[in-house]
Parts: sequence; structure tokens; C-alpha cells
Amino acid sequence: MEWLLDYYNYRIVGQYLDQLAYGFGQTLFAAGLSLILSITIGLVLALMRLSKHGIFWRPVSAYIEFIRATPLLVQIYIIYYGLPSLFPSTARWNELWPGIIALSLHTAAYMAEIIRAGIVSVPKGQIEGAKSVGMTYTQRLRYIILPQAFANVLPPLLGQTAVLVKDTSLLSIITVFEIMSAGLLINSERVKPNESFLTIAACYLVIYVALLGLSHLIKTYLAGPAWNAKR
Amino acid sequence: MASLLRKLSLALAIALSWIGFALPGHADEMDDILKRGELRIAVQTQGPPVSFIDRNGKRTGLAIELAEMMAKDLGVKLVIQDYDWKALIPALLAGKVDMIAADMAPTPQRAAQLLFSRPMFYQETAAFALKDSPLKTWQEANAEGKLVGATQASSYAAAAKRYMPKATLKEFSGGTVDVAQAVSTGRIDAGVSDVANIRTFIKEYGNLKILENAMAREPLAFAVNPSHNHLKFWLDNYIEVVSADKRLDELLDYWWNSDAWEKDHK
Repeated sequence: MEWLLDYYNYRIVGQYLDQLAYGFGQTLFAAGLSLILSITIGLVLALMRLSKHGIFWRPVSAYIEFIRATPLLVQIYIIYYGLPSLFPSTARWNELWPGIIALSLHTAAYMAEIIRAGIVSVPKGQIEGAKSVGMTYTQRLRYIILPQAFANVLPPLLGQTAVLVKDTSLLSIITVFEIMSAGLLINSERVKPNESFLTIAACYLVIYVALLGLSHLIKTYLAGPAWNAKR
Repeated sequence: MASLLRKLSLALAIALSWIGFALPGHADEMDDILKRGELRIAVQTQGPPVSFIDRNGKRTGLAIELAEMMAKDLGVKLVIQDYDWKALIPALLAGKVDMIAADMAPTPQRAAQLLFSRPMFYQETAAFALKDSPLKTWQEANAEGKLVGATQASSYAAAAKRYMPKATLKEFSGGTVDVAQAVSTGRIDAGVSDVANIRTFIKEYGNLKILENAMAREPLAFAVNPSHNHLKFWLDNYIEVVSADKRLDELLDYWWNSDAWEKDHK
């Protein structure tokens, strides 16, 4: 294994295992909570966006365009530095919270568009059938529309989730100690780019592979193993 | 005829390679600089007085004028490349520049990867806080529950860890300006930086003050590629020369120890 030390000095990485593990945990926490929040907010936004009433869909449409038009980094700065001037008590929050708020608000806009596409893709006959057996709006959503909608758009949802996981790296700029910060720390203390950035790239890869497996389980749960088999 | 030509060219090749060996020394990095006619330096825009853009849109500062003086003495043109703090060392190691002319402290970890000149100048590390903060000295900021900020993995972060162990350290990977912004918006109680930087922040933000007492004094040096011994010793020699003829003191008095530069550049 000595030859490997020339390219990748794992002894140096070993000295930073604590920081890497802590950073990995913070990344998982920030991404996980942001994912739950952004899908929840995204679902509400998608339903509002599909409403026939302008009072619902117009503001949501404006919000989605605003989020898509501005860089996430700018949004993170606005929330991190701007929030205390609106609500002084938020100044002493742990920086993780403004970070999660910014990530959730950002990703929710993209999630809303994906979920909306999923809802639109559910065949009309399904909804008419549900209506004819006397299901209410909430029942139709819960049992007929949403399971199929989510199963239909799982690939783009997974893609957006992967983007969300990678976007957590931007939180390093507001001192959240996630996996990117751990990499930056190794690189600035030891000046070893390979050891710093290949290690954290591998961490992101591990998260992605886990997500891939998870999305397969969710698809089976939502729509059964034979979903889309014949199409 | 053909074989004669071949023999001749072979003899010529041998003769040429022999001359090549016989010539004094191989081309080193100093020769490269002289041949190129350019001294390429990597700088960061950390703000006055070390490196910044002045009111005429010209890049200047203590590190820049020092490098300009070197280029003039060598009779070459100075080429300045502006990098992010994090990109300075990679740019040097990738051979994009001949040296880093920034306010970089020669820490043992950095010196394991780079070759540092002897210190060019020293700076004082201090802390700053909001003007209406109850804190008066940096020692008061060293308390449980206090949040202190510094540039990530900088010598300021190291000083904060060493001298303010009771406070919680927040490391900003974006640089010192982010630290000042965070203090100014009340995200953290105090920031750690050097006195010159803090003086600038106090003027720019208007709601900051410096905390009493210096925390530490740290050397700042220029850095070259670890294989460039000639350039390293050239730099060391240069510091001796300009210290002896007082040109270094003039620069330090103008930029570092006074506000004299402000009326020309601000």
C-alpha cells in the first residue's frame, strides 16, 4: 500500500476522521430535513399552482420564477445575513437553521414543478373513477392521485434530491460544518487537494448510491413492483 | 554519401549535447523569469493595505509595491494574477505563477508544501466587535457561549483556538469580509483578524470597534514552489538588501505603520 501514499495519503485522512464523520452527519441532517421540508412545501405549492383561482396560482408562479432566476448562493446569503435585520432574535440561531431554510425554500420551487408534472400525468379516468365512487378531494389525493403522481416522477425527484445533497456544500460558506467544510479544512491545514476533495467526493457518491436504492424501495411501496412494466 | 551525412549529424549531436553539459548550470526558475521577461505573482484582494484596488482602479498595496520593486530590480515586467485565498497555493503548485505575494503566514503545515521566504513583515492579530457591544478587550470575548469568527484554517482561526478556548469558533470559508459581515449583522460576538484589516472594516462598516490588546504577532512571507531553491534564496537576499538600504522600511512606514497611503489611494 506504500505506493498509494504518493497519490493519496490515507494517513492524513485518518487524522481527520472525527471531522469527516461529523461533517458527513451534518450533511445528511441538512439534506434530509431540507428534503422533507421541500417536498412538503413543494406539494402545497404544486396544488396551489394547479388551482383555477388566480389568487392561488399567480403568487406561487411568481415565487417559482423568482427562485429559479436567482442563484442559490445569493439566496443563502440573503437569508443568513438578512434574516437578523427582519427578526433580530434569529441572529443567535445556529447557522444550520438559516441554511436549511434557504435550501428548503430553494428546492421547494423545483419540487413543486416536478410534483405538478406528476399530478398532471395521472390519467383523467382515474380521477373520474374516484369521483364516481364518491371520494372526497382529500381522499382522491391520498389514495388515487398522489401515489401515482409520485411514482411517475420518481426519477426527476431523485435527480433533484441528488442536486439538493450536493447543494448542501454551499452551506460551508456560512460556517455550517458539513462534509465540504471538512474537506476545505484538510486542504487549508495540510495543503493536500487529493486527500481533501477525493475523500469528500466519495462521501457524496455514497449518499447518492443510498438514495438510488431508497428510491427503488419507495417506488415499489407506492405503486407495486409491476409499475410501468408493460409501457 | 548518405552514411557520411549520418556520421556527421551524429557527431554534431554528440558535440551539441557535450556543449549542453559543459554550459554552466541548467536553466532554473530564475533564468525562466529573466528569459520570459515577466515575474508572475499570485495575489488575493484581501483589502488595504496589503493588496487592493485603489480609487484610480489600479491594484496596489504593500505586497504589490514590494513585488513591483523586485520586478524593477530584475528588469522584468510584473504580471499580477488575482486569486481567491483558497486558490493561491494550488495556483503556485500548478506553476501558473512564480510566487505568492500575499499576507500568508508561513505555518509549519504550509511550509511542508511550499518554500517560504524569510518574513517580509509582521502583523498583529486582534479582535473586533460591534460598537455597542459590552466587550472591551479580546479576553472578555473568551467566555462560554460567546461566538467568535475567523477565516477558515487561517492563522487567525489558529489564534482564536489557542487564546480563546472558552468561546465557540465559527470558521468562514469565504474570507475575512464574511467575518466582518457576520459581526456587523450580529451573527457572532467578535471576529479575529489583523489590525490593518480591522481598521479598514471599522471605516467601511461604521458599526464596529477594535477590542483592546493584541492577541499575537505573526510573520508574513512570500512563497515559492518547493523545488525553486534559487528563487527562495534570491528572495531572502532581497530582504537583506532592501532592509539595509531602508527601502523596505519606507514601504512599511507608508503602508503598514501609518495611514499615509490613504491620501494617495483612497
